Amino acid sequence: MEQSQSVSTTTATRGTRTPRLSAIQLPDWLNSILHNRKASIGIIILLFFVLVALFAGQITSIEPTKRVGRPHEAPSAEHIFGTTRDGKDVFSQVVHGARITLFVGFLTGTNLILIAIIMGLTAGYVGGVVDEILSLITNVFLILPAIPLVIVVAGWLDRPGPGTVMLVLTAISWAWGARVLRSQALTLRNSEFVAAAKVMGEPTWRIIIFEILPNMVSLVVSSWIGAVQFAILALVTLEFIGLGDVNIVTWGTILFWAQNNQALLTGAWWTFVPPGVCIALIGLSLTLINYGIDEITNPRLQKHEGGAK
Amino acid sequence: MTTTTQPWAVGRTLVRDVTEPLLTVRDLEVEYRTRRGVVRAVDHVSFDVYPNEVLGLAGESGCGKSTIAHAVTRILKPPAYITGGKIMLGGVDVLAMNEENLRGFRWEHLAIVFQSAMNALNPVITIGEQIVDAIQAHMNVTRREARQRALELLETVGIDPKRIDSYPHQLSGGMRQRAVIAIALALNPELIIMDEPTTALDVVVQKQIIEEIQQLKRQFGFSIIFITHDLSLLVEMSDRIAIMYAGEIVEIAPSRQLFESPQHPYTQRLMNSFPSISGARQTLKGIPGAPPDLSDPPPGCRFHPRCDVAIAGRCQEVHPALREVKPGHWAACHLLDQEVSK
Amino acid sequence: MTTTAQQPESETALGSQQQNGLLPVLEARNLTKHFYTGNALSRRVVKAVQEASFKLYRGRVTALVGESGSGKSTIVRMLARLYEPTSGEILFDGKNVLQERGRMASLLYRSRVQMIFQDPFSSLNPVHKVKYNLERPLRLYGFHVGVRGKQAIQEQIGELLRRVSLTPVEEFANKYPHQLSGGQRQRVAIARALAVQPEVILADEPISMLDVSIRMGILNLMARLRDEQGIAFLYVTHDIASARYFSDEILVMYAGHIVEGAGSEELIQNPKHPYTQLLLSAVPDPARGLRTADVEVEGEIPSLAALGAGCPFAPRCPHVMEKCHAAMPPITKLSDTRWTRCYLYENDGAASKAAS
Repeated sequence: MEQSQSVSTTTATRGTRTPRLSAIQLPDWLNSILHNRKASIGIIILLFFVLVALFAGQITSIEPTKRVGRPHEAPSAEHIFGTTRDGKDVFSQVVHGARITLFVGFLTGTNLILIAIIMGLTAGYVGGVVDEILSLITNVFLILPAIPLVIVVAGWLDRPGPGTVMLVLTAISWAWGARVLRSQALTLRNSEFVAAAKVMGEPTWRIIIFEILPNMVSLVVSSWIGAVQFAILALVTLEFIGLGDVNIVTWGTILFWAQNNQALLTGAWWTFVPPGVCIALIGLSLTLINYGIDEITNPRLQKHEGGAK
Repeated sequence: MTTTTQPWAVGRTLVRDVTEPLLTVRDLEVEYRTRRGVVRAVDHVSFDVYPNEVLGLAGESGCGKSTIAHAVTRILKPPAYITGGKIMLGGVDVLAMNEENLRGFRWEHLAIVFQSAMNALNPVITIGEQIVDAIQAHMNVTRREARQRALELLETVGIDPKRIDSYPHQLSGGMRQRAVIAIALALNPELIIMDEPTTALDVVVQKQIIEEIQQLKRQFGFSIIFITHDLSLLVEMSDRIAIMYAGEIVEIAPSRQLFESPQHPYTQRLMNSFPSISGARQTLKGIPGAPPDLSDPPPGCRFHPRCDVAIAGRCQEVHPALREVKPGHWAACHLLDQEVSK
Repeated sequence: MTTTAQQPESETALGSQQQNGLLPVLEARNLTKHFYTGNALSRRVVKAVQEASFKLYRGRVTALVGESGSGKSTIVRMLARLYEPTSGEILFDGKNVLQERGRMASLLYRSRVQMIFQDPFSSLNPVHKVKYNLERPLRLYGFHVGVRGKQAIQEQIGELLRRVSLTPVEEFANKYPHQLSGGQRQRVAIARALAVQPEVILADEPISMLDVSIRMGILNLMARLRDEQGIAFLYVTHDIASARYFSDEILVMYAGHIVEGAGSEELIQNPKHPYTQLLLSAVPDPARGLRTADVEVEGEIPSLAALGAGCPFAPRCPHVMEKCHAAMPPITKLSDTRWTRCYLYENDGAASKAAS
């Protein structure tokens, strides 16, 4: 007959896997991220730039669009990054430029992923005819070359502002994310806990939101970071070739004007190196965060506690 | 069969005397170094395998039996490390060999058959090719000779030789496993380690394959270490059985003797977990609890938290040693010490 | 090694139930499932289940034994309403549930018939704690089990965990699946199924992925639930020995057909169908001593996409006759409690279409 004593808990009590940060009780996932070197470095860099963007006005009192010095002054104590051809302070431009670049970049990336989630999740979970139609649409958008198409559309729109650029980018480049998320949704749909939820009588919408989506978090997060990275770089690219609104201050437009003003020929490296380095650092930080998340999620998948044959 | 100059027709080189063990393992230790700490997957394990014998290695998940298989064939990868012990196969020190020597040594003298044939078979290469590859990697023979040998092997394991150019997915589960066995036999090794070879197969196919393995063993004369959790199967087909628990061997004895009078409480309770189709229907209890966490095993006897006849004090503090409690029958249990010392 | 020997659940109990006219709680009638693969150019039909009929009674365990490709898992999924049968009926307390549509009808059925899955690692969502898994059925079926309100739900969760011996309950309620062993996860799965207070539990190979020493604990738990709560179990397994241990009745499946049905003990002691005989002779059994007449058989289970019209076991059967290739043998009732589909016994009993 059934054992009346309770099933031993000796093996099962493992608690958290990573040491907690002193006295603060942080959730497991946050702990893992903070303990991962790559992710931490990436987050620090990203946070740095976010803070710079937020407090641009406090960091420098010089206005980015005002003529404050002689043209093409080399970096000095007064102008840390020197001045542009028009005598505007490069440091101030970089600091203020971070705002639009980062904000529009993040917003675009987020919109991209939202569309990708809706398209991918629906196609993957519902299946059938719906899947075929959505996949067809996704595949069409997938083969459209995003950057050239954006260039063409942006050119046709005649110097669109960042908002418009954001819309164009979003409309064209959601397809890759949708495809990735669809295939994971497909896998999850066939998992036994989804079958168990069905047998339990859970309605479809609950299954999608509470059973499937939570299991896609790490993929969604890493896709989102990838999307933000793509958006920022695409934005900068467009602005650099002059397709954005060249009168606003963003990292891309700084580069545009630098190129326009023959920075290389005149040796005014300070007009393009600082923004370039910032762009590279942002890209690096996002990549590091993604690598870090990869490292965290993969070993966890491999750790299987006992019980199987 | 071709002339005696063919490499595989040359007799075995390792062991002449059948009363001497073919494989000797002494105090083997294997550790897994993980972020959570060091796990002793195999802790001071010693056993022998004699020529032409089947040694069964039984235990549940996490007991270390698969780790031993990987350690003996030296295919352990980090974070697993062999941290101690000796492994001698036919007088050759297996642990002392470098990669180059190992490659030559493996498959000629020692082969391994895995549970999931798909782990061992490359899905994009035909089975004939895989046998030929295995042969040519070790022997200096032409492709034609190797292919001829492959045809013979397929026939021997019961696969229609015409299927030599089939891909693994075109074969059934049983056929795939037979193909894996054919690859293992390619160079006529003295010892074949089989890690749960029939667990994923249906019971009828399992019986067919076990019979074929026994037939092959009689024909070619090799020893087998047969690893499985299915004790009933081992009692039927092995000569001796070693029972593992939490990284240690807790009992080792001739099969029939183990079945009829198991000495270690774990073995007894384990046998009480297999329903049988003959005899009276009994109430089976299984064993409460779960195997211990090997990064922090219980002190003393590792089975004591789940043992209903543990001696208070003694079993929790003192680690029992493997002792010969009857001729050829070894067990590690304090209860038996008391009986032996009487 | 021996403990108390139980009298096998007597076949006369089944007989008397029928004599008393007790209705089966769940009945499958001529269930058939065909899967269609391929595209418009090359359609293939996989006949996973053909004409399966059987009954489940309250307080009894019926085992469905078969090897891979026998169709047993497909039957379970049809009964769990995960697959739509191609044809046939599923009757709950006599009423055909396949005809009833709508969410209420579906919930009603699901409150009566629940399922336990094979893989304890994947049948629990890794992101949810144990208590979520138990809370959901209580919320969905509050009307049915009479548990309403946060307090009552929490108490009931504790009660369910106690019933499957997962104590201390506060500790287990807050654990995630990856913090539990296989056996513990399976107990959670059982508790989840129990939460709706079902009358039938479909168990799809519930112990085959667990460590050997834990299996009996789970089977004993299910046996206790059968005895104490009168739950009907459908126990699907490939292991006929555990079917003998746990179930009252055994149905043997081969290549989509149920080929024999009998009380457990009489099936094991005296198998009639040649496939059952083969199966029993292949099971490792050291207690058997000298094996009598081992059934020697070649060949393998046929592909379900390439079945002919006759008995699927014909190519391998040692007693095969001409007519075996022509058509599937009809059901032959050998007694009140056993029947088989085999031409060898065609004239032994009253051949009937219904296995009752």
